[in-house]
Amino acid sequence: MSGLSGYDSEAVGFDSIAQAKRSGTQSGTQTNFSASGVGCQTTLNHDIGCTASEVVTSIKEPPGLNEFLRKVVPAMMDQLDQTERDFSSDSDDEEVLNAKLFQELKLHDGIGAGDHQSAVLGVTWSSAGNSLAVSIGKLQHETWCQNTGLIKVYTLKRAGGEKFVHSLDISENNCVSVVKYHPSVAALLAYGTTSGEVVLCNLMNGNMEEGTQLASPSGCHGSRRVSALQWADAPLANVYLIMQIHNKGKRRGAADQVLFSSGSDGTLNVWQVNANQKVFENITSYQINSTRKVVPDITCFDYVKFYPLRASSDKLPDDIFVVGAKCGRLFLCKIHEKIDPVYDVLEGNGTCVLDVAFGVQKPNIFVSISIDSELRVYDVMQNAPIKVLCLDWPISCMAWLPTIPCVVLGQAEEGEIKVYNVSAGKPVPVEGFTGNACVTCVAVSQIGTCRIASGDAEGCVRIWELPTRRIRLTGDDLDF
Amino acid sequence: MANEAEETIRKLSMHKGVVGVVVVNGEGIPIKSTLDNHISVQYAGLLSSLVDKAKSVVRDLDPTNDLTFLRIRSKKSEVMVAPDKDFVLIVVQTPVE
Repeated sequence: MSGLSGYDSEAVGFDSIAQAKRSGTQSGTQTNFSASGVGCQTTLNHDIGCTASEVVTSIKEPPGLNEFLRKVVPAMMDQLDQTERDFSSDSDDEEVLNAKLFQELKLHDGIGAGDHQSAVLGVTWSSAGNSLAVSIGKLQHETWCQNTGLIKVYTLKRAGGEKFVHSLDISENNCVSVVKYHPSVAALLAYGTTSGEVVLCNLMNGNMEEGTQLASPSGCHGSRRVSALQWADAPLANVYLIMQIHNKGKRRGAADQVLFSSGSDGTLNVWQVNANQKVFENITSYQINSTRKVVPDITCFDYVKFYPLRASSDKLPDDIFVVGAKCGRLFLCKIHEKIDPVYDVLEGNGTCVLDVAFGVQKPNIFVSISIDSELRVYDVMQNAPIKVLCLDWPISCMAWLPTIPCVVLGQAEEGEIKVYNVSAGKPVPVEGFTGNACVTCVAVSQIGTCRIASGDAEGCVRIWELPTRRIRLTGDDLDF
Repeated sequence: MANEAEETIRKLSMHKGVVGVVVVNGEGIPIKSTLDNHISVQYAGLLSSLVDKAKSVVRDLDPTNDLTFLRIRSKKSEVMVAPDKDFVLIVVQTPVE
């Protein structure tokens, strides 16, 4: 009988009384007891009705409730205020920006005649924002690229109304997969081809005379597609040029620049280039993830931005770069490592990483986009992403806006461009962006006005003007 | 005259956007509420189990850690939950028009 409660014990006691000929009295007692209980409950319910106020009291206040409320209500008030701010920032009073189409360039001439539509493969702005280089070719190749590539250079003419006019053509034997102007030396234009060649052009005189082009050695990137190009800024170039002096004992020229190129064969080459001295030498060739025997198909990469005036409390390693691959992985790498620079692998995106780029507001923050419409925000100091934004439209390309924590995203289907506030994790309302084919590339120039160049799969380049200074940001927007 | 707990709950319910305040005891029963009875019971039951689950998650990840606050944002409203040893405070807030 160990499982019986105290009530059961009483019942046993009554049973024994019943055997002593007092059964009638016993049943009466039970009736009185239950009636009394119901009465008590009714009284309590009646009390609830009497209060008739906002706060309904169902039972008597339990001990410790006041202490609990004193403890949690201040935090709750803070959270309520926070919610109010968040929701109010979502409200309709947010200004809608108007993007203005500055110019539309249709590039149907030259290549891509016949059944194959030529697409824009890359766009790049010169450092002064007065020249635009556009690469046109074929987006998909069934086997080897057998198409000819073409880069069209447009320069801004102010006479007779500001507009970009065609000034130069650069032809290639294969499609030019990526093209990049130097960020500070306006005459330097580099491009990479689908056959793995990296070429530097000196456009100093505005034409392609003999000797104005320097090319990488043959067989570079395993003769496979050059997937991304990047110029080093001055501090980063300095690091690699010093490395070249240490490794090879070669002097550096005052005008030496450093160019990075990545290929589908999993290599990332660092080049020392000098257009005047005809220098095009390899500083180092990283073989990403080669020690783990799984060589990725590199799609993109970016280096952490140098901030010499960073406070000591915010001091971060500035020798990091990140590489994105077709398998969806992000490789964190160190500059000074030989051969395989990978020190950490972030398994974030489930599918092909389309682009990766460090922001300028926070040196340790970078953004990656993948083919499954995910935009991820990472901090190099932690393995997991800070934010994962699942967009409900397909994305194809990305570029940071230079002054604010927002990215420009190219849409893969509708052909529109979207501006996304990465820090707040919400789109910036912009009207005026239109398009009718997959946006294949975007580039942003912030010289005076913010101009966005977008190329699409039908060989059309649109140049937009966006009033980015009217995008309202709060202090929280710079916090990530 | 309202006691301290009621006065506190009244203050919370007067906050901009707040549509309901429920205090739940350790057994998952609403003991104070500004919502209708059946809605209070629903909130109390569902959120008590969610708080227990969230507590387990936090402690499983780090046994020295503990859950202090839970926010559930939805398209229409946000539910804020402040859990403690014996009670749970639930506040439902919607965006102000």
